[in-house]
Amino acid sequence: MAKAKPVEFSGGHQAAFRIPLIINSEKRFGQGITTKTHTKDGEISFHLPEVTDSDIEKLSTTSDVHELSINEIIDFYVKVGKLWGNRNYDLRKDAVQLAVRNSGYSAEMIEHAYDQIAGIFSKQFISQTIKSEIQDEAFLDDWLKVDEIYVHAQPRGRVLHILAGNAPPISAVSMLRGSLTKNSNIIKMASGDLVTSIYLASSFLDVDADHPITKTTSVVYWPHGSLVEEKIIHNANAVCVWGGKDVIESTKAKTRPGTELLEFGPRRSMQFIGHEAFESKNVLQSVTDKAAHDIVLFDQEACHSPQLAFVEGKGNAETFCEALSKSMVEECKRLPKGFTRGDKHASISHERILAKFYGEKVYESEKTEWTIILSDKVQRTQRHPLGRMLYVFEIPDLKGAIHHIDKSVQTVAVFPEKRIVELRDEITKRGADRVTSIGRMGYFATGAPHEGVYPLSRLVRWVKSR
Amino acid sequence: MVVDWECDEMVKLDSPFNMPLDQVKEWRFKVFKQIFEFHYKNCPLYTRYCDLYHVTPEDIKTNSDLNKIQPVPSDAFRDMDSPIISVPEADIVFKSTTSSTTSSKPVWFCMDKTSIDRTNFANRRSFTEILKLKDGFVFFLTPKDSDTGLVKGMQATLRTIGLPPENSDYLVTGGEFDVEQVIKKLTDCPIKPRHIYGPPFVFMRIVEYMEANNKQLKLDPESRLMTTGGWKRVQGEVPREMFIERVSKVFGVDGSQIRDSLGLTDIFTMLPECEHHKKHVPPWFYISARNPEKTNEEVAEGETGLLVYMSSLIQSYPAFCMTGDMGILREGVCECGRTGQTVQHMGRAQGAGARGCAIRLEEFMNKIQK
Repeated sequence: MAKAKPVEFSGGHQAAFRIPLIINSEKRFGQGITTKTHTKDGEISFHLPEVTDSDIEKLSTTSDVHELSINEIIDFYVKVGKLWGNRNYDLRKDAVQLAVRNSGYSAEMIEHAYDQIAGIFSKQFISQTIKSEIQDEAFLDDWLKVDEIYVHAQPRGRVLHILAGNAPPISAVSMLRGSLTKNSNIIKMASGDLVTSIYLASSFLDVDADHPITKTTSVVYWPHGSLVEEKIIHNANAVCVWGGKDVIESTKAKTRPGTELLEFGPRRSMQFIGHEAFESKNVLQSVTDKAAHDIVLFDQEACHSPQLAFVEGKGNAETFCEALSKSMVEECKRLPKGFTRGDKHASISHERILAKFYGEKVYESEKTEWTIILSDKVQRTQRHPLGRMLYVFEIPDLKGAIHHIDKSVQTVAVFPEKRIVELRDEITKRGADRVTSIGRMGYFATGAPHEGVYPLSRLVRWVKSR
Repeated sequence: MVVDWECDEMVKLDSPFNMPLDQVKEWRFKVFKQIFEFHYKNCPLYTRYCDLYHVTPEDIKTNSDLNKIQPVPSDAFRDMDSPIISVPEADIVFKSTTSSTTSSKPVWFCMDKTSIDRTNFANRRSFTEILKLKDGFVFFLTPKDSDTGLVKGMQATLRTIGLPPENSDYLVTGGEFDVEQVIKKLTDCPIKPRHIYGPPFVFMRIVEYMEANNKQLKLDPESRLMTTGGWKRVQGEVPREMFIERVSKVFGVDGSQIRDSLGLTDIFTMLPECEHHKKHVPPWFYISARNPEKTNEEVAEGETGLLVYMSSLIQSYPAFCMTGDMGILREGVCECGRTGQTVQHMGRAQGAGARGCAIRLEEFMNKIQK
């Protein structure tokens, strides 16, 4: 059970929380930095300590966990996963409550995300991930003969993870990758998720306070552009950066040559709906239920969230929109939309009004919960307000939609699955990284590369010996 | 077509900015019902759009029905295949463009002569009666050839108030900006009062230089130091109160002489601040603050809404523009004694790009910083 609350409620007239930094398992509270989020209950402040030179010194000298066997690492994360798989685990319960207030996502969405984290930390997922990315987990522990030489996967050292706040599971994915490759982890939280990493690292203490992974995991925060950022990036041996264009570009600019840099985002995604979806009402409903889930997940803020759909066959797009409208109503009940700021409401309303002026058909909830726009102007989807809005386009043949794909597209979901084979080569040649089935856009299968790379193989140094 | 326009009568009223509130609302209802009816009848694209919402001129029965007037998103003026106009295309004498970050295509607003003349006349009244800018010499802290709508708009307004082009100078030339030269020109200018117009960050460049070199100027009691709110995104912004304090000190003017304005290129106007730093909406314009979640409803006074800028003066296109601006409206009697709406700009809807002038001036700033 948890020994102490990782986060302190500092109360007072306005809701405020004190979020600690964790430097190699040691927590430190402070008030140097304040970030604010707007929620339906008003403004909430989060106070965090600044990263000091002394912290940077400790982070710069943290060793890797090369002495651990891969099985010890897996066992550790599986124990953490088991704790997080229990919705009544104290830390998870607290994390859900706080994450709702910090991220704005609904409690249902956060629970869903934390269920995903439990799955990510399952033995099966971890083992399959290592197998597909490293081929043989023994490379991580030992020297294996490959033709004429012996090869070993050495940790790079310290991996800095600059996280985005749009999808809580990325905290788990990124730190797991760092640990499986026997590196130490420095997690830089996003202001939109000041909760998940802190609570995950806190649950490490519940599993084993003296474990080398616990002792080499740090969770920190600094405002974007701070001088601290440059110092920590300079001392990292590898950097995994998630997020928008600004963050990625500034991180790239600060990363020294020779430091491995893995970048994730920003991307957008699409759905391709074949004419087969309209063979029967049941099939169509199954497709639109899954399509709705893809849209609703993380309120469409993730790279894998579909922003537009191409529907094959004359007259089918309208039928699809009507069916999808019903599915959106149901899926929004299951995974309610989180808090939306006024300017975001405005952006969605603005887009709806624009569509109506163009004479496009708009399917919408009474307020701004969800929107489907049956359009013929693909160009203007570049200006997408997100917030559970899908642009739908009718085309005679799915192949005709492929030219709308470029490198900004991460995932294309195709129905029916059997047509993936027909389309995947052209889709990925145009720049997309992933072709999957409808309803699975937010779930990365084991064996899947991420953004065109196998991250584990990039977080090790492949060394050789005769 | 000959229309007996109510707005022509209103812009000529003796005291349009000091009418009792009841009269403001009465006039507002008359002029906006009439202009809505005109666009509904004469702009087929707008008619189709209003029909979608089941709104016709008959639905505008009282002042409180003005929120039923359907706003046109400014982006529509860019993307439509044919121009959005309510007069014959042959009557169009001027096309204004503004740019958007989200597309390389410009946004077109088409004006006929009547709309231009009427708008110029009304803008003149705002500038002479709210800003009290009547004569003197205007220094632009911009290049002469700036193609921003706000600079062009200011030039046009100065012409309408009778300031000849030779009574203005542009202090940025070839991307160069020499503060010493600015000080010299301001000091030596024989024409009084001396006014300055420019983006806040250029004002701040002068302020910082003068503070660092312990220099001060003494402009004239009638001088106006003018900025435009649409530029406030520009890097170098300082809190408004601090801006006023520092600018007033180095230029030797009272804080009430420093006036920001809200540039509304979509309806060809600027809303200048009064001496109490409130941006007044003249009665021939109406700003509606819509509920961002349900845009057919207005938010309560004092709440932030999605702004719809409406002009009763423009007959060439339905100038009921939703630009993506967010803001707060208040209606009543200002400390300055003027009546009607005042507006406070609060930023842009998320995802809505920065508007043209801010972008152009950021580019311009980048040039002069080199």
